[in-house]
Amino acid sequence: MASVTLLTVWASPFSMRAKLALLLKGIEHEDLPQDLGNKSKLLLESNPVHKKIPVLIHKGKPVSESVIIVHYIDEVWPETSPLLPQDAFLRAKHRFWTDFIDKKIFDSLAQFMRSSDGGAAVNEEFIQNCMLLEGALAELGSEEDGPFFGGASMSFLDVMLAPYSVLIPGVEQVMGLKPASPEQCPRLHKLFGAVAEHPSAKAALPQIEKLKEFIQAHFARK
Amino acid sequence: MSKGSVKVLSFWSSMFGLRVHYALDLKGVSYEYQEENLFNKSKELLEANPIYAKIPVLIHNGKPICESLIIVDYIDSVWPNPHKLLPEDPYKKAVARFWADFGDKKVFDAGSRLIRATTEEERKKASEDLKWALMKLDEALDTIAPGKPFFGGDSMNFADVALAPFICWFKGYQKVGGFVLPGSEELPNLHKWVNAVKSVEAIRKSTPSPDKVAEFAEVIRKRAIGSA
Repeated sequence: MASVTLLTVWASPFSMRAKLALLLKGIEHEDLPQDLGNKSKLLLESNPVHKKIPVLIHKGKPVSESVIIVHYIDEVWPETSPLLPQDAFLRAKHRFWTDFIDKKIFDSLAQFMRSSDGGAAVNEEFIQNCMLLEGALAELGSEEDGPFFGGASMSFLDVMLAPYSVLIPGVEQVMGLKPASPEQCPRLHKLFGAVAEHPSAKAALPQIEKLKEFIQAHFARK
Repeated sequence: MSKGSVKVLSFWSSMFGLRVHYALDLKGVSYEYQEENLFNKSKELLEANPIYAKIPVLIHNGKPICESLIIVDYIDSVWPNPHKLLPEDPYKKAVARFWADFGDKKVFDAGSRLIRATTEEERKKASEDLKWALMKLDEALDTIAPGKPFFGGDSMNFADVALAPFICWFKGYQKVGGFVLPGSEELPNLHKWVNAVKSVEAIRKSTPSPDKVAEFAEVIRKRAIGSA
């Protein structure tokens, strides 16, 4: 087995984050796509507690949970493309907004996708959450430095958010999600645009058309 | 030791708040404590945590840090000594973070559902889930630090601090949710861990009495049922 292996599911934003972190740092790795409907022995042995992806296996030792994996990648390979800031308070901010993305952005998007009534209320909640994230961007990243939370280059929080640059358009185009407008979230729009152009992100994130097929097959209302 | 002003906004029975107390007390950091009335939150809390308006919040030199595990991580960075909580080795660090996260996702979640259960089916499921989670913790202790009292080996680490606050809530889970903690024959490592944690002076300092917590758990339950 390669020294670095990543157990993935291409459509999962959590899986995309781990992949992006490895690509940003130029870490050669083996990508082993997983079938969650028929979990492999390797997956069940590597993540016996949660049986979920992504899992990073480094020198035979497994690391689970996307946030923990990205922390680990950043700590083992700190020289190239450092992701977390040096300052303890800023690190706390990156972690706080990562947790917000998981608790609020992901959750409201997932609720919208599962809603049976058209999801108008949760869509509004989703937009409000994006506007809070826009506020975080204003607080943490100076626009002159660049489009990302990390300025000109992607940082920890950018890696955590990047999957939404394909997820949001996917859900919008297939299920009619109303995203936050460029007027409501100008910097977030620019950030997603910059993600779309970034070579590592292009390799780590699925094409929107492919994701749309997946969303159509699994979530679209009849 | 002094690195500026340190203030903690919290609530006496909050497991999340206790994590912050434990981290600061293990490191001997002096801090001001402000008890919040969760039905009449202070202006300071609302300004410090505008997104969630929740406790705990750590205010260090006027700057707020929110979310208990993020706070503990911060405390460990700013005051690494004495008593470093996160191991230096990245893999061991990841393992500690995993079990702290497990505390939130599996232990707290099941306990919370147990207290708020409105049907016997819900209560039973929550109870089974809590038992499962405790079994996993028991196994983990044996794998990570065999023969040692803590996840951190001879002393408490990040995972121990994250999980220790549940100990004072077991009586509440029993009183309100009928949850009986499996004995030491079933969970030998967990029971050793509980006894070891309870013997740490810094932990005793802020831990509320399990009886008081159990009374409070009843209050939460009444409110949860009342609104159902």
